[in-house]
Amino acid sequence: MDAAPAISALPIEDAESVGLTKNEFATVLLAVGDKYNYGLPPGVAATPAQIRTFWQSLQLRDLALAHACALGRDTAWRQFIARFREPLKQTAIGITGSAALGAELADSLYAELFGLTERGEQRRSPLAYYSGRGSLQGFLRATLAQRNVDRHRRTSRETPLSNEDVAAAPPVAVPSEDVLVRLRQSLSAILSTLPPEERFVLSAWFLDRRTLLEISRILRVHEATVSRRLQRLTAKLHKELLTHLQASGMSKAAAEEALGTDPRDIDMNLRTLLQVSRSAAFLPQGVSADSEQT
Amino acid sequence: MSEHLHPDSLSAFVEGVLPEHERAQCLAHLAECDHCREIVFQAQEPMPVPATAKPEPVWRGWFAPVPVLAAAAVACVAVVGVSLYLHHPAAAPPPVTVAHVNPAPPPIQPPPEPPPVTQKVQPRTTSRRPVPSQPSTDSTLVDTTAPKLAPPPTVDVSAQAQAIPTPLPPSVTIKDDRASADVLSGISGTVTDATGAGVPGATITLRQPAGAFSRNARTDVAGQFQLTGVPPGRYELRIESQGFQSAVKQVEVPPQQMAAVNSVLQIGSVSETVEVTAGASAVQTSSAEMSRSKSRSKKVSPPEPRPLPSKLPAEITVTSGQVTLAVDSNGALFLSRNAGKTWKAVKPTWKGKVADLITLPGPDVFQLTTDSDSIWLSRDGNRWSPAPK
Repeated sequence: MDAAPAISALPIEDAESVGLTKNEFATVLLAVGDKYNYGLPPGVAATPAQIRTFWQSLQLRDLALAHACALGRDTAWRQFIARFREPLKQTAIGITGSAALGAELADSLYAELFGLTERGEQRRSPLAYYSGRGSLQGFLRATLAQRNVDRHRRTSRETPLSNEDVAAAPPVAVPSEDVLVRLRQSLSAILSTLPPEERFVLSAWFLDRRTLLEISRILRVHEATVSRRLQRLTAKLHKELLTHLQASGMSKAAAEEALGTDPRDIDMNLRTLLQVSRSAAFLPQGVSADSEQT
Repeated sequence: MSEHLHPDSLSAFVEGVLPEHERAQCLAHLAECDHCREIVFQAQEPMPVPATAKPEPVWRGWFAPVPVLAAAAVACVAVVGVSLYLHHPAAAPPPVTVAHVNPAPPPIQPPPEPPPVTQKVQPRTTSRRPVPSQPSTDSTLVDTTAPKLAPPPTVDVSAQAQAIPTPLPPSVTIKDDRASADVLSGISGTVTDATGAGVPGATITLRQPAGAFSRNARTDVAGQFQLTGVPPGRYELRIESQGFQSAVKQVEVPPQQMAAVNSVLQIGSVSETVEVTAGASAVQTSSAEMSRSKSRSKKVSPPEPRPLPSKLPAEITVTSGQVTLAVDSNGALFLSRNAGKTWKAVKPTWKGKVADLITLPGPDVFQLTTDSDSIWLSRDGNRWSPAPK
């Protein structure tokens, strides 16, 4: 489709101010639109109005700046440094919780953003992947977080165990292997029926031990909503697991014993169960944990 | 598990700008991938810092020492005052003499110069709540050394009570703005103990022996009270406070003037009756006068009325004819037709609590004001109707 009229209607003065030509910016816009199908589900053809709406929803100024930087335009870099250098450093310090680590993380990301790391035969800046749907500040924050998580996972194996002062987990009776297999199967079956958001809540709460506030901020709901949802999900999981276990041939008493008869233990038991069977439980049915590639 | 999500998608997810189908895909991946979940939680914007107090303008800093200096000055004055009071030999004798101030000319005319004074007899009576009429503050001043005082008093004043009518300046605003010419007349005063300290919470009961008017009040923390809107006439003022002897005074309230009544309560339980007569025409403003004649008679206090059915103390009591109304401390209204021997709760037709209760001349004898400032009228104290606006 001819997107030129729609592009020409956009305020692209910002692109020119950072050293990006109209054609270059139009190419970026078309690439973003194609990649995300103009915000529509795959297979749905976008109308001109939908295309125009999609482009108008983009952070055009940030998009132009990021791609101009990726192309190495000096004007753009001056603006980028003026706008993001200090916020990037502060964000990195906030993420790492350390001034030294934060400065190191921010500096290493700068090197990446300048395109100093090679991919294949071509140097490419991460800024070239910025789509403009979110803010450039948010993109940089997520990139920093990703680099920090990668660094932590890479270096945490080198951390001696003696330095970790973590309280020992309370002893929880782990079911026998036979019961565990049944529990895994039941849990996988139940989780597969849950909506993605509820599965996310369960994993963030039980596996990551995130707080209600953290989860509520991600889902943009109130803490109380997350709390109620968790209560409902926990009760539902417990009930359905009992049903599944009984359907698989276990007696009611044995099923309750496997899950923990004390209702106060349901949280801990579910957490243990999810942790023990995490690789299988959160995967779609039919996909084995062994085939996981992350 | 699919590949990790790109920071571009993760940041868009965190900012909530993803379309629904892509958000669902993102959540489905996040439910499985703790790596991406970790990034998402780290990529959140930091928690908003609670709003700090707005910085004060610079110019306010210039006046910053002023409150400190003012507080220091007040503290110094208080210390010096207390020291002088405690060590001054003249402070010990009781105020057996009082000055009389003639009434000022009519309120329209400018008030005359206050009489010369040399010593304050009751330093604690001048206090937090100013008496509304300006000359009344001067009425507590005594010139004990002046030999050329005016001749004998025309007013009988006891050693422990004085009733001095004082004119109100024209600019005084009366809160109790009932539509009556009597609104400017009333009684104000101070109740103190033998040491001169104000007695807070003392019950002031004003009755018209021959009429239906009755009002109640309580002294404030400084021992002061004020009753406005009192029709001119002769009244019986009863002052009661726990641990003190009750005092009953006969007070003459002149038209459009405030009668000042200062009373010193004695410790004990025997009630004391003091006859006080104040005549507006007999008081001069040009000079201070000393009064030495006094008449005092003691009698047994009247029997206490029966307690209210609510077992709470009566805050306000008014009487009109055979009907006595009382408001307890919870704002409930009670009626008695036998001078308080038996009480009956009045079923409220108003919302809230009764905050004030007075008697009025006219067919609607009783008027109450609720805590929401609605006014209700009644002829018999039992059936109430809202006051016409």
